[in-house]
Amino acid sequence: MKNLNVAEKIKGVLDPRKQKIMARLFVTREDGITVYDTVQDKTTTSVAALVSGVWQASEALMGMVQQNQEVMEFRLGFDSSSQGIYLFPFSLGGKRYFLGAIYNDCLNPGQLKRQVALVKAEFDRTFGDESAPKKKVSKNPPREGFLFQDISDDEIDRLFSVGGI
Amino acid sequence: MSFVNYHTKEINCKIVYYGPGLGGKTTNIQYIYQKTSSQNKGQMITLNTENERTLFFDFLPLDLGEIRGFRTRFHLYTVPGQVFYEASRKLILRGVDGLVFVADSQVERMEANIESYQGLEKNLAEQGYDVSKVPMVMQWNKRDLPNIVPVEDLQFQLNKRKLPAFEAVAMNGQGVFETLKMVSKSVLLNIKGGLE
Repeated sequence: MKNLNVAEKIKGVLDPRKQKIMARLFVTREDGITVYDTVQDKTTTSVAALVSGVWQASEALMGMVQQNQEVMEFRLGFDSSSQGIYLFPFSLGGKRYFLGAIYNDCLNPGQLKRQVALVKAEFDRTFGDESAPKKKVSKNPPREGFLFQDISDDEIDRLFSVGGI
Repeated sequence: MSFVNYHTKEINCKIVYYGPGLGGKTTNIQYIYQKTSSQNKGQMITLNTENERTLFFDFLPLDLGEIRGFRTRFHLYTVPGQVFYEASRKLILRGVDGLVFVADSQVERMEANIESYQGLEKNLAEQGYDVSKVPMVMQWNKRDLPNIVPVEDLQFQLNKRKLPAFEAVAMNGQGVFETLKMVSKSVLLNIKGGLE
């Protein structure tokens, strides 16, 4: 499991379970970047950005009333009797991610939440012992270790021209 | 922090537009949204107050082409500019890869520019960022108005780090993409390789 990247690891846990859970399932990083989503359309990135925002705002609110609570024990829900959204944090490689479910027309939201909670527990079991990768201390030249050594203005122009810009 | 997926060869970066209230941050994002082809942009999210001021953030995902074989996605955010939304600004800065500081060039907004810039430095430092290492571009917006501060004064007051700076009129798009391209380039050059 440790040789796979984060997205592959999460996919490995969620794919076998997604048919049984009647909800849109997704995982986002805490900075609002999608790692997994059973729906791939124009809302995919927006869901992640909003999830990150709403979690961080809720966490900041909790910080005002309760200083000592471990945030990983929290969950976040916004729901009616048949539809809603449900979020759990979990940790992988020393970073925090959110597992979420969006559902509607659900006859038994309690059962659905339980299913999502079990997936979260599976994440904890699978990834719980994975700590953050150690960063190498580099004695190399300043640009060593960066993904790109240089990027020209022409390359940036070409990148944006794809978007019609 | 930027997210590089080496398996799918994708790069995701977070760029935040910061600056005083009514300076033109949202206008920048709206112009980018209008001018980008539909297959390269996602849904634009705006969380506004009743009078169309930014309440929490604006968000625009841009899914551009490839650079050196990596598919590149930029997530553009704005912060709410009004003074009393400081807590929201701090939250939105989390995980930022690059910044655009949108200054309002009008004389009467100079104090607000300085206050906002100082707040930005403070908020970044509070979150553990080395302010001098975060890729950043300055934008002197509203250059079409009559009562504007000379660029030299803006540079002296707000750009002691000698960061790249662009004059802009975001309402009609002047300087908008120049700013975005520059911050994008700075962010891409700042991505560390080797780790996920």
